[in-house]
Amino acid sequence: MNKILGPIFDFCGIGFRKGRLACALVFLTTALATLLILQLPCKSQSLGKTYDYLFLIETEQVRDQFEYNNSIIGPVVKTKITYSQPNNEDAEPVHYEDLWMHGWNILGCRRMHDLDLQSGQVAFEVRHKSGFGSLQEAEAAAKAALRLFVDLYARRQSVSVILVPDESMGYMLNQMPQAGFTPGPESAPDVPVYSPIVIPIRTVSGSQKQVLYYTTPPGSGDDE
Amino acid sequence: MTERHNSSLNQRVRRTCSGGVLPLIMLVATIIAALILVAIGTSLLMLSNAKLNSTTENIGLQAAVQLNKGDRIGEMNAMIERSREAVFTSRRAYDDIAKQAPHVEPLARLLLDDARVGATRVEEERQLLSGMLGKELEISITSKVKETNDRGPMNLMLLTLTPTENTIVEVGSLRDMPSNATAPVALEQLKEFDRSAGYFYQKTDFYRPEISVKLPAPDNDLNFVFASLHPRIKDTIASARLITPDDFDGRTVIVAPGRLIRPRLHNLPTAIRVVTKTNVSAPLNLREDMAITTIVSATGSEKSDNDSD
Repeated sequence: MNKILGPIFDFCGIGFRKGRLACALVFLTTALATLLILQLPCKSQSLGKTYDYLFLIETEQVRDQFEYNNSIIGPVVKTKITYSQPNNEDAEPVHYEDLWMHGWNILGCRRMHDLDLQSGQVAFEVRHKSGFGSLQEAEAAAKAALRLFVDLYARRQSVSVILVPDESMGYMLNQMPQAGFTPGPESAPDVPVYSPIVIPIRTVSGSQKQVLYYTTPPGSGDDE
Repeated sequence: MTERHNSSLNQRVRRTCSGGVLPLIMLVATIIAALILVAIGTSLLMLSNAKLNSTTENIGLQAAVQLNKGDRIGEMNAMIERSREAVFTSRRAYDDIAKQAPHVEPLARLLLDDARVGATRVEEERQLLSGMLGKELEISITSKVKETNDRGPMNLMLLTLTPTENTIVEVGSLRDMPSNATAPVALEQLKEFDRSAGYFYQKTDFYRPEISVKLPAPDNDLNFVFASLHPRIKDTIASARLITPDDFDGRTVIVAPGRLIRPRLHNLPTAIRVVTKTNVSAPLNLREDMAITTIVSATGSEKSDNDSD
């Protein structure tokens, strides 16, 4: 440690002595900022620690099933939903359910576990097993997130944020209005929001941030 | 001396007068020859029967393997079960939301309607797959039979076997066999409902095949029908195999001699009965049609829906 800090102090001493105070201050600030950044946990660690429950929505294109000609339900995307408690190291991740989708349409569900949650902050994170999200996978992820949202809302729990891969953000935002969620920019704190449900959605890299404002879904009969 | 000579002469005279050894030998020889001919004939017939059996079994088994290629019937059964769960869970979420958060009711209703539409699509897919499998079987078996016919008559010493195109193919299912779809894992309420409605096969957690497995009202208008398919038991997957007529529940004839049937299959076929006819001709213009019947069941399901992957 002395080896690292010694030259810095020497340099500062020289800076002070030679009247280069400004230069020394800039250098010190940069060094401190670098040290602070190095002390921060990596993104995925910090992401989870902020929330009590992190739901992982992982999509995967199913191969060799319902891929024959004229199939009504193929191609199928399987979505695996697990939840974990990032702040509780003893808690094992729970496999909640698997969903099978054909694009935006749900075909099947296999519930593996009940939703045993205490109150707390909940976040969704979407991942694509292949590493990149196709349109079908993004549609499936959007529908899975909505189903999960309803399951949680029935238990009086809401979602603090939905994190999606950068490449799927556009696809997912395009699907949401079908379910009554209109994407829009985050409103200023002093501007009133006329929506019963507001869910922030952002990319994992943080490059894009939107908010989903809930209104009645189109064609539901409650529009007026 | 004279006496002994006389006695020997008398003996010879007696043999000559009343001895029938030659005809006796001829008679015995004829009987033996006839027996040999019968034995040869029988063995030839058995040989030809075995040969024809083997050909028909081969055709049937190839078709049975094709039937559940890639575990498509098993996957369809599993998807039908998942589709039920999707409707059931969506209905439950809708009921909860309608009571507790009416402002989100339209969203819950949309998801419920979506799950119900999904169930209808899965049922349509099941019917589409049933039709497709029937068509595939028809093409596969008739082409195999034609291939055998194109090889021409088969000579088996005295017998000539000429295959004909008079083939019958009937599809159905295995009797006393459940489907590979299993009970819900974490939906005790639905599992209890299914158990009380008698939807499970005996005391297992596998659904009974070929009945309409309904959901509780108001979703009891939806149709869920499973196909009988040997489930995977631990790591054992049932291979396509010959079954007895008692185990075969025939439903629909898809190929019959001299006419094009193209029936509409309502259930996924998992067993096939193939009847081929061969003309057996022997010298002296003896002719007879020999019918060979083979019944085979499809390969069992490869995957259990409780597998975590």
